[in-house]
Amino acid sequence: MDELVPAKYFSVVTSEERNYTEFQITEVCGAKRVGYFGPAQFYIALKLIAAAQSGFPVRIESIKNELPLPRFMALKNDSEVRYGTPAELHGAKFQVPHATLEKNSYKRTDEGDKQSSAVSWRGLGEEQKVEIVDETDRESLSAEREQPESSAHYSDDPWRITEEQRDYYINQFRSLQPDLNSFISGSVAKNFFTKSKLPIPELSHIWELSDVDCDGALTLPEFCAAFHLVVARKNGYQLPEKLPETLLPEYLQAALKVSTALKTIPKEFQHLTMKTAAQESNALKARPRSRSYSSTSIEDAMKKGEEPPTPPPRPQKSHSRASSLDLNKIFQQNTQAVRSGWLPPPPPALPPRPSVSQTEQVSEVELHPQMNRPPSQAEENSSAKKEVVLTQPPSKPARRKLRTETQGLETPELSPTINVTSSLPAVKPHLPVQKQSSKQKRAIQTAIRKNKEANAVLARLNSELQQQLKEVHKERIALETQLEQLRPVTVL
Amino acid sequence: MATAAPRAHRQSLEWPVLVSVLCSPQNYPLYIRSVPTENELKFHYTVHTSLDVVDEKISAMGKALVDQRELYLGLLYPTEDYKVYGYVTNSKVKFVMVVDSSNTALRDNEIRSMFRKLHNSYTDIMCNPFYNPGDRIHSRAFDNTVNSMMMQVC
Repeated sequence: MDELVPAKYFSVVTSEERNYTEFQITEVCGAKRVGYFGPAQFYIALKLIAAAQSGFPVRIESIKNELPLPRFMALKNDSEVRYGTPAELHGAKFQVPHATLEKNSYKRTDEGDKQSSAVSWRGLGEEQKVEIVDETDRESLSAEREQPESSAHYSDDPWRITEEQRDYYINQFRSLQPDLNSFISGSVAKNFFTKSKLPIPELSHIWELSDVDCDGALTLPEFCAAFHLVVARKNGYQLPEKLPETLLPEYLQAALKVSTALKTIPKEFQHLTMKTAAQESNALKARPRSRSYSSTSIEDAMKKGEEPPTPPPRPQKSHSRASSLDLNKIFQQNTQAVRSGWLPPPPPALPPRPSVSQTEQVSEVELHPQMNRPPSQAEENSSAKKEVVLTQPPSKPARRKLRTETQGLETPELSPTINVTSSLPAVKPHLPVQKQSSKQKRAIQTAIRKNKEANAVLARLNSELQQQLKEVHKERIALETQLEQLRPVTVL
Repeated sequence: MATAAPRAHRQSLEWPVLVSVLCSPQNYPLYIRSVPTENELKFHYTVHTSLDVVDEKISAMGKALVDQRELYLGLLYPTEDYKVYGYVTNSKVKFVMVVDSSNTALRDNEIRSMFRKLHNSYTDIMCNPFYNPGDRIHSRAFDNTVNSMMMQVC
């Protein structure tokens, strides 16, 4: 590496110094005379900077003092690299005790675009190799993972998958399953991940974290998440309790971001929006899991497991489904009720959560034959919410990460709505809080109106189903009492 | 005993469900979760004896009329302090729940829904290829589900 540091780099480094001092330093260290900063000049110059920063006069004698380390504000990574290498001592010609550079800035800093880490100089005269990138983690990777993943860990977040990592995972997926849109089955994945020699309980936990739809198979994003977790664990990271947001598959990431963004909305709108966000995430989670336990035996259960997620409409059975609802009856009745436009009395403000999730599941299964409605509803809800999220960024600087990601998400998907809301992002962040909240309120109210319509439909369903449930319960209790009477009494 | 009663009452408000147990078809426990109090051993014993009742109910059914209604076994055994509810899956895995009697807010259909949640969570565990049926359950997600279910009145 070229040892001659051109003067302009030196001025970049010392840009916080007053110009005159800088001029003095360049003069004293001999660069002016020689015309360039060789290693000796550089070391002297830096020592003089330290002297100047601690208030000593800029003289050759100052370097003999015991000085604290000069503090620099490093502006760019690249410049640090360049300053790093010239500091290697190969038989220093001058007695410059404080001459070595150690790189602190390449450690994993927290997320932040500007790496304003100070480059501090260690005051030891021994030769030290500059560690530019911590390549130490390479050794800990197993032979199967020979990819430059260590550099990827030093992006903002260890749970974020970089492009090269993702390509590697996709290739591995292809080796297990040539079709990228289909699943890897559980046993195949188990054999594959067991090769990583992690203990079985940890692999089990990784599976639980990454198989978000709990179907016993891994889609491509789930596989990437699982692989990433395995790699992280092998590199010494502790496994998280919950799957980090960046590892979620995209459809859940969007729902999660929306629901977390909604938490910033003032509380009076929160319960409505949180409910709809919860409903949406419940819908997304419940979609692949339409499990019914009304099978009559293990063999029937296994047969049904091989069918597509929505069970086909079953023949009418009179009493085979007591506590779970007979979906056929409800489906027919519901379409009739919807057609007749019968509106039940409005439900209580906060229905208990199990019935919410239950109605979500049932409504998902019901509406599945009319495939359009759930995705369009979810899209409606999400687009309404993303409008809201767009208005958030000016007022919520703390959500920087969220904003950049939602903006990235929204631009490809929501160009029509962005036209509508294009005026809103023009709101300056310096507006008083009341104006912001009123604009927020307007946007939120439109979102609320849409969500209310969706809510009304679901509430109708809910109340109808509750009524059905009550009737079925009554029947069941009557039958059970009859059965008890007929059975011989068991004395304990 | 005077101090025990208000404490138990408080417990029933915080923890309506006192104990949840999953048992394998061979009647050894796969998962036990109980409220951390004294007398845990007493609850374990109660659950163990109630397995007899479960077996009895299963055998009493006999014919192939096993369906959702029969999965939920209902109240197995009431004492003055608590009630025991049972549920059996298609693969003969048994769930037993002990509920405080003083908690009158828990109705039958709520117990049913709790069992359904347990069953869903158990199915999720079975989907995990690293889980061998018959192992003890160590899943953190399952723990969280059971905790949240036991702590709140559905």
